[in-house]
Amino acid sequence: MRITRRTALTAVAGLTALPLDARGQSVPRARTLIIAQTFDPSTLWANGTTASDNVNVGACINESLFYVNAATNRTEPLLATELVQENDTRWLIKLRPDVKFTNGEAMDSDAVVHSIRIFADSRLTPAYASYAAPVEGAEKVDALTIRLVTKYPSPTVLLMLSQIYVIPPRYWADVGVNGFGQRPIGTGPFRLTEWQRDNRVVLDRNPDYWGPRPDGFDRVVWRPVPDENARAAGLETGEFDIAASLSVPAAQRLERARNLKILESPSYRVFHLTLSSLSIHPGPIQDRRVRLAMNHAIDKQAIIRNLFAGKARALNGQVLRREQQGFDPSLQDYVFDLARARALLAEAGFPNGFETVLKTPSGRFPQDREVAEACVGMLARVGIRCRLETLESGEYLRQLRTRELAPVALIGLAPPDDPDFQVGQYRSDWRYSYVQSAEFDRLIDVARREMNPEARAGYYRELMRAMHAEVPLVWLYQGVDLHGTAARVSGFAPRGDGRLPLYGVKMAART
Amino acid sequence: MIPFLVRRLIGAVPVLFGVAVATFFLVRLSGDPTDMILPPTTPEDVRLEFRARYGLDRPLWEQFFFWLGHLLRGDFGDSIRFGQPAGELVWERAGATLELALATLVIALAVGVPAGVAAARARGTVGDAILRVMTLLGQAVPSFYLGVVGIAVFAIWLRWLPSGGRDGIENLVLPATTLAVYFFAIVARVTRSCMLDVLNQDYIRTARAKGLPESAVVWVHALRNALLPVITVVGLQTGFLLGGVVVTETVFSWPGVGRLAIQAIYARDFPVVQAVVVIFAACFVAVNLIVDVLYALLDPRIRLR
Amino acid sequence: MTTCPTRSLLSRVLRRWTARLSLLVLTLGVLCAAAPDLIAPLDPYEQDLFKRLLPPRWSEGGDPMHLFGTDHLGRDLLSRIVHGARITLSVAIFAVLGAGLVGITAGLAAGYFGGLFDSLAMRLADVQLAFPVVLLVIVVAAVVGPSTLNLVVILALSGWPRFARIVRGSVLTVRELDYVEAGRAAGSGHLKLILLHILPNVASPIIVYASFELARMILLEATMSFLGLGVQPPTPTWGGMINDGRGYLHLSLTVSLLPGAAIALTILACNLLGDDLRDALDPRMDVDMR
Repeated sequence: MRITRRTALTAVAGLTALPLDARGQSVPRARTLIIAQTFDPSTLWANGTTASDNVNVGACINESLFYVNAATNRTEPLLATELVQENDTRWLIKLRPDVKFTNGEAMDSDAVVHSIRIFADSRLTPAYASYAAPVEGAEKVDALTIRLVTKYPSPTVLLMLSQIYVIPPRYWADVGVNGFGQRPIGTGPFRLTEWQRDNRVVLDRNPDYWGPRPDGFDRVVWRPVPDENARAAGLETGEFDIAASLSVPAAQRLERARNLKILESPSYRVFHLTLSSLSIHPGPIQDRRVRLAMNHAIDKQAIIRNLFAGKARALNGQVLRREQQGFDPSLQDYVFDLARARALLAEAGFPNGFETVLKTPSGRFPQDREVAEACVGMLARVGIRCRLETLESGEYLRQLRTRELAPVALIGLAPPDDPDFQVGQYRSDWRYSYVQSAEFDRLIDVARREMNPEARAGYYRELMRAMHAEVPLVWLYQGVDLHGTAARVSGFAPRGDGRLPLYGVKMAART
Repeated sequence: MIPFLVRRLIGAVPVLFGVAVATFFLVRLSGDPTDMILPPTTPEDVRLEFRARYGLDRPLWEQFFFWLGHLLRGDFGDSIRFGQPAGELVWERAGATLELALATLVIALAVGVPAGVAAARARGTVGDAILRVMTLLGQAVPSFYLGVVGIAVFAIWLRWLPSGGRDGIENLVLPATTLAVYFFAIVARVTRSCMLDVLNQDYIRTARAKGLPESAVVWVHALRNALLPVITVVGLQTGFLLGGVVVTETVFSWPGVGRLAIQAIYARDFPVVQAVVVIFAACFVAVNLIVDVLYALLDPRIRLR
Repeated sequence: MTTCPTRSLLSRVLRRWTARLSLLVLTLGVLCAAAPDLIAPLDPYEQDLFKRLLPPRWSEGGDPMHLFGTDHLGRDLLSRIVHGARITLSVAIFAVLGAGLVGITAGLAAGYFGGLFDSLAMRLADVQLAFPVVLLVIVVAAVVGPSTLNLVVILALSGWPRFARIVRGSVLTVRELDYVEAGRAAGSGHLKLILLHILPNVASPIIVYASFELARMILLEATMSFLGLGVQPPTPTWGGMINDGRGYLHLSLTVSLLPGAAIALTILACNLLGDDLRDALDPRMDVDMR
């Protein structure tokens, strides 16, 4: 094997991890914020992947142009100060002055134009290709202003700009995408001190940061702890100050602890049973009455109450969430009514039910298998006998992509936070759409290009009503993310997409 | 000695090659890694471009020869997930796994050998029976089960030890002890039966007749001869140790090669899986070779074969 | 000529109380595996979301209907353990049979014929033994997908080399014995020689080893189920139950504890039986077969 000096050094470094924190003694534990999340990042470049565990760490080092603040539910300026629309496809972005990267390079139009170019290059940034799709190009207007040109009118420009992390162009040219992913340099409140693979990422405060100094801590340590029980246990013992993605039973247990706080944050993730009405999947499910019967047969409230201890939210018969534009407050989900379900089945010609297959992933989403098992049990009561097929994550994603998750499957996707991304999954030509409706398509298309927010919301509401009537799926629940913090941590505002921004987080002194 | 060594080394090469080839084809059959890396919303053309970059769209034979060529130069290829060379990723974590494996062996030997010797000397008594029960249980209880229970008791309930990660000595205690239970059982059992055999030999009786103190007889003369099979057994069990390390690292979130392997398998990160399997196999072969050499050194009859 | 060793073997083995106990446990296990519906009190698949994680009947908060309590979906633990025996034992037994079939055949042929076949077979065995077993099984399970049949095949494939090694070793010893020479001189064909003369004499180590191998297969199956790569839920498996219970340890210890005890007990029985068989057949047999 090619043993370079670097690999030899890393091997030795791996061996010497045992001596206790020899390098860490300069920052006391009391001023270190330790956060446990599920995975170790695969790259520290925030635009390397869309996985929140990666972006959480990378976003402490590199910053985006705008930032969606979960606490205020508004998109706020960050490295950009203003967005001005010139016309349908041209936008002016004004940048914050006097911001530098930690290697001395200036954060200016050149840097931002370069960053946008990288972002829009689907070879370098394949994970964000769907965000970057409308981008035509960007050009420098002056040192602190750039012009963004889109291929077509796109109402999601602001959301996209909140996903672009600005990188130093000269450093990037020096180290390349892989080098940057291992040793990033940015404008953010922290900079990288050390990354021990699969063990910890250590970030120290950036003394030249343009914004407010982090309140109460000078060091952040991100720990990958895949086992959710271990995350909860570590929070209890004080090993961690913040533990992300707690399971419901763990959260229930920790709620009673005096020195801990549990935060519930409504997730972007929406769970439903997809019912394929495509012609390539013939069967009883093609009949609308059968689909309606399935909605009546499943007691969604029981699932929410018993499997999630009430820590999940009902979907009001829609795939858009309460907080989103286009949510129609007048719609309600179909009620739990076994008699009605049986009657509908009989009417559709299945008085004795029928056999079908329910596919579910296992361990991909919290309690996914349990929910699927519960649904199987409930459907059996009206005669719909499901064979439960559990799929390993990779296989599940592959079948999702190729429309093989039929006739019934548990799906819980969290697309970017704009109605277009959410409903676009139901357009007939979308890769994993299991419905084909000209009406849905029409509404999706027209809303996609509508620049006026009010009109746009109106189209989405109409779409929600159409979907409610057509019953293309069994609405289940909206997930709730549970995070735990030590009592001395405040101001923590997790986002529904799993992002844990550290802006505004305060840590009081240890008592 | 040298021709013996050389012969064994040459014999190891086709074995490792066989392992490498088998792994190559096996992992590629597990499916497409792009689904695990790119979000489902990625446009199809971008996905195909990504695949092309890693040569995943080439016919299998072409991929194989390409990979073989690099392997012969010591290059395992780049991880699809991280972009870093796969070999480097394994190197980074090798220290952690070695630490766990060595600690396990040390605990198992340090506790097992004296226990086996004591049981042999106290043969037929209650103490011997207790040890027999302990070794039987030690081999019957699955290590992942012990790990789960250990975490529940020592980390969650008593809070004496951390439940995972790798910082200081306290993190090593639980995983190493969990894994060591099985080996302790084997080591104790083998030590006991070998000591029993040796203690009956003539030269032991001679040593006693000469007036040597009992402890010297036992610990110096007898043990030296009994250690040979113990070493052999430990070497033979290396395969199990490597497997046990994989599961233990998962249960305790220990940042070693085993955990890297499991993550890579689930993510279909072929280059990393291939690298780990080949390296593990090489370690296994190396340990067997060392055991053979030790055996040959200690037992001259074998050297001459 | 060969005597029928079975009857005398059985009586010799059964003289020991450990063997009697082990056989009892294993018979119980096989009964559970063969006819779980007769033994299990309740349906192992029936959920009751209002009766989750109940402790055993004799504990505070227990339910008279559920002797050992319930799991996280309200399913009866005792029934799930009984049904779990079916998967664990059938996979393990068939895997040992499969490994034995392939391994014994290969070992017999390699030991008897020697030469090129011997070298090739042993090389192949070496390659497979060099593979870390757990990783091999995980990789293959990830490839072909988790299912009972796949698991049996994978485990059988992982077990044949050791069978082959042991058989080959014994064959090499037996090959030169007098009556085998006599049989050859009398003109017996290869097959007849192998089946009638050699095989019965290598039977002892095979039987002993099979017992230990059964224990190993049970452990492997449990590990795979624990990792989620074995038989898929909702079918109950002991390893899977331990994994399910991990998230609820503070609420109910029994959910993980009991299936683990079942695994340990079964493995213990197999090992004890193997020890007793070895002592009854030939106490000088290789000690470190496990």
